[in-house]
Amino acid sequence: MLSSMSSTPSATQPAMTALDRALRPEVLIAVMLGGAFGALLRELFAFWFTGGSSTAFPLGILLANLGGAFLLGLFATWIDGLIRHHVFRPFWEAGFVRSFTTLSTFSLQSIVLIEAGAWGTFIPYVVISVVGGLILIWCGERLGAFFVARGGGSVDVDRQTRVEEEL
Amino acid sequence: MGSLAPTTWFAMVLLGGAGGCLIRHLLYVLIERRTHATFPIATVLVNLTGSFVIGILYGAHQAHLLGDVANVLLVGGACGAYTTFSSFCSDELRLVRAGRHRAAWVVLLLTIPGCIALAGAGLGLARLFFG
Repeated sequence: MLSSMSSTPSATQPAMTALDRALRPEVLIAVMLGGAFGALLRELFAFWFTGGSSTAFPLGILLANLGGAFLLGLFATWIDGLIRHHVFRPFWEAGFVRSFTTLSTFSLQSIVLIEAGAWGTFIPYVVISVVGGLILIWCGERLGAFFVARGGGSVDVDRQTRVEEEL
Repeated sequence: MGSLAPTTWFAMVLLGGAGGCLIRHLLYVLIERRTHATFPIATVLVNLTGSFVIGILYGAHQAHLLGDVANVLLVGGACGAYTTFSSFCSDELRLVRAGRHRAAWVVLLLTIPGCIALAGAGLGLARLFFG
């Protein structure tokens, strides 16, 4: 939907169209629904995978952030091209995936670990999050591009250059 | 789920997640409408502000000014959904692909040390005023 539309920009189709679409009621509802379920799954991950102590390794949020980065890459190159209904992308990307991943909880956990002097937990947590997230979104995009190529299509991973194309 | 009943916990996370996500989406639209910048200012901004706010909320919860229900609603639900790690990753990948390495480093430094520092600043402020 948005990707197909904004991949052919022209003078008759100003950039505002994508932004106006992003404010339509059904899109806002899709964003909220996706956001609600993304947040729920993330908090369940934190509940399932992280130990009770505040200085335990935050495995739940790490898994949510890494998994979300991979999913975002996969969706951007592959699944968005399969499902073109205009509320699908706001639901999954702006809603679910972005809400499933979090930076504020990551920052807060980092501060709690620093305060407790748990450097042996803090440093691996930050390094694995950042390096792993960047590697996994790249893997997600590559895997998505591979599936598209196998189906006889082609995908330009450099296509997305503007934020508005993601809204 | 701590001291909360599972149904209350689920409801608060869902509600907070929906609200935080909607605010972020509206902010993205607003920023994109004003600037049309290729620098991913929106993601950096939501992550910095969300980290600052979560520090304040955590301090308020520790000082018993924020109850457990509000804590789950605002911290795990709203702040968690408002900020995003996956967009940070996609912004970084895009900047590196475009050869804009300096911008990529600026985003990295603003997001990782910047957000951790702001969470600490929020927590410090909360302790100063509520403690």
